Amino acid sequence: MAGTAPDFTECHGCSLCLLVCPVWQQTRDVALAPKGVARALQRNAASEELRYAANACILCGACNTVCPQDIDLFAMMLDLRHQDAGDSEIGEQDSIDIVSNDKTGSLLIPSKALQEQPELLGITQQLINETTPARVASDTGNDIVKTIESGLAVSEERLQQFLKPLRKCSRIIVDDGLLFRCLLQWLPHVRIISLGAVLSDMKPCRDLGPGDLYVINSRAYHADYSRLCGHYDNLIKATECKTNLDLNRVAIPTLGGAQQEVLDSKLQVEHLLEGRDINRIVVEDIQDATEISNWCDYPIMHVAEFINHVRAA
Amino acid sequence: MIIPEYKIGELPPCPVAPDALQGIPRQQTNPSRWQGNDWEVFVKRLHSENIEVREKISSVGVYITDASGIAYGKAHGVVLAQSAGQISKILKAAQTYKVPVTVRGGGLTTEGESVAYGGLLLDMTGMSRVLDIDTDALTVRTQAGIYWHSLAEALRRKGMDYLSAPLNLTSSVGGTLGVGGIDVNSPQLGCSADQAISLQVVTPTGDIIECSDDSNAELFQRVILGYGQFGIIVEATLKIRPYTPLSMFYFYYDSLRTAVEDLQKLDKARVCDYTGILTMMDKAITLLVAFDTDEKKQAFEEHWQHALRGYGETGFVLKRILHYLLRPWRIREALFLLKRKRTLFPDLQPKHHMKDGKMLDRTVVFSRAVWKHWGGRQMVIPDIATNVDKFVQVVERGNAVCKKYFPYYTLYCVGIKLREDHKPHYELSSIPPDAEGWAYGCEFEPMLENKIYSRDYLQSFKNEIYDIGVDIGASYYRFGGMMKGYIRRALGDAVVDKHLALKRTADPAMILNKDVIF
Repeated sequence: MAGTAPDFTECHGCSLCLLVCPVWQQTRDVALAPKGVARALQRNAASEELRYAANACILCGACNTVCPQDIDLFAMMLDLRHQDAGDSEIGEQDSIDIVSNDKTGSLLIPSKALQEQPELLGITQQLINETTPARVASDTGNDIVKTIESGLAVSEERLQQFLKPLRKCSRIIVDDGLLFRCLLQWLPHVRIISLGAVLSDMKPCRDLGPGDLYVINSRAYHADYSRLCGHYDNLIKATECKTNLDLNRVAIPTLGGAQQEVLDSKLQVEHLLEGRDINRIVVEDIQDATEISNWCDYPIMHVAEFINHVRAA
Repeated sequence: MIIPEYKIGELPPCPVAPDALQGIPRQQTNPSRWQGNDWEVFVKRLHSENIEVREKISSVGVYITDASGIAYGKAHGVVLAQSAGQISKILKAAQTYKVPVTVRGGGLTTEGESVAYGGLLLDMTGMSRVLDIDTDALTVRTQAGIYWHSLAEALRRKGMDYLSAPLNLTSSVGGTLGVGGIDVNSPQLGCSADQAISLQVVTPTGDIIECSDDSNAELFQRVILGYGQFGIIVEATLKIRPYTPLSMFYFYYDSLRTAVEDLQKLDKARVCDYTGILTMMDKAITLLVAFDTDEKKQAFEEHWQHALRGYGETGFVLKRILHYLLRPWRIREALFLLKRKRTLFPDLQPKHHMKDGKMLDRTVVFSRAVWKHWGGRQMVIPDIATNVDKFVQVVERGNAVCKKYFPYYTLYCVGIKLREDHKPHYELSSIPPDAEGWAYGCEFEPMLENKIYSRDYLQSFKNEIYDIGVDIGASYYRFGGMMKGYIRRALGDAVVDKHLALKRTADPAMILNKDVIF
């Protein structure tokens, strides 16, 4: 149909998505990768048959960046997860009180993990305020993210409660990569930036060097790939730091924060670090720091901490 | 329509449309489907050996076609390769129960070679890990189901790179070693298959054998460039080299003959590390040259650049503008070229793959550009490989055939440096028997632009290209069910019968990769 976005029917099996899929990387099972799922759907496979694949996906979004047919493979996997969960189920909301973000201006929406580290959140906000003051969102939408990732449906009422005040914002800085992707879709007329991109753009990040592994927030990066690819390329060229980008310039994720039970976290971190001659790791997503620190002894810091560290030195 | 009766083992005359070459009946294109005799007991045997066989459509459907989008076949079941031992058990059982086994790596065949027409499909990408990288000896040992791209990723962590691989990075190492593997550095380094030092092979009867030029050499000779007929490659030791970014330049021609002659001159003089020709029809012919080192680049600029008869980009564009101003009825073609230039060129030099004027990860750039600009639901890429002298004729004749069938198409021409000591490997392969020093290959690829063509139309086009190879005495990069009938006509009964006898000995039940050649 004219004007319709390409879907799984357009997959002709090039396998480029396999090259960047962390699930395929570990399992080497094409049935679990976007290509396998798309081809199975072309042959009318039922969603129950694809349940395992849909739930194995860690929703990193890397596949979307390489698909030559521009199929929204991320949406395909999420949709399968949603079908498996059933349309009629509504996601449970967190029990915390949701206080609406009812002011305009610049807003920082921290992830749940960042919220749980008030000191780091404070440093982060302070850094952002140096250029354009931003208040921290009281309604962070974490329940919405959790619901979407589970494949459940978010109630329209809750969604509008979250989005309505955001429409009035001049700029929204988002930490959680999945929420970042969703907001780019839901609020196309609002300026939405990933937290990692904001912090990595700050001058002290030019002090990164060849001994540093800078771990880009993979979900956020892939959600805004066409823009962020150039941003991080500039950072790499300016500093010669290493990053978690592969040869396709796609970000290798840790499994930090992903709802999944198929992949081995240790293997994933080993894959990320293999062959890297580094002495320090700097991360954009605090969940990546937690994940990596479980499996190696390198000093690890959040990019906000790194910036402060450079300034203090 | 009356279907004539025929004896088992004899091909009937084709009752369908006439072949492109008048007077020669068209051979059956899709092989007939194996009917499943003893499939159940075969699967039971595999289950008893703890081998999972996937039979649901959600699994089998993944492999229903190859890159051609024309050959369609459904396996009875799929196994994900895990180990040489597992594969050995599979082939032993397959011999016993006469179950065809089709082996698939990246699935980038275009003549149905990696499509199972019934029987078992063995997906080798389950065995796709790098086992050891030796940066002193400059070798890598890898499982053969690995994609070339994944191999590149692993090598790059150690500052290394492979020598020569297909342009398309989602082909597998094992599949490529069985076919050839050519790229723009093949004129200097040879085809990928010639980079293999040793292999671990599971023979059709299930023996696991390590082979090389020095050990089990006869098996090595048959398996390299052997189209998967004499064994399944499970591991390979390949040569590697330190990774270098490269400097790349383009020269533009309006004559295929001139471009090919200049290409061959450069290859013979060994002045460039990479050379090749890529065209948009015969209207924009690009000679690509590239260098690993500044010294070689400078030497080329001083001694060779002026001798090339191609134009720089600006000069060529002006020439083309004049050409189309004088031929306004070709405006559509002009607009197509303009559109292609606008969309393709940025993808050939993306900023994030460039540093200090040099290209980083060329293979990634080219591979993604190939899929984006030439990939599609149907992919038709007949090819011909010849010796040095016949090549320009083949290119010109093939170009005429392309023009006859399609408004838009690409030719891709590359040289392949041959190894004198590998002549036994080259028998019944993509390397033409009369090639000395270098072979040259041309792929003729229509740009289908999302238009769906009938199988008959596409097959007629391919037949006409392959007919040139028969006429001129050449070989083909792609052997497969769809063009199996050309192999005897091109290479002759003597060599085909010799290899058929070897095949019958090695594979008594004739189950491994049926209908690719035999």
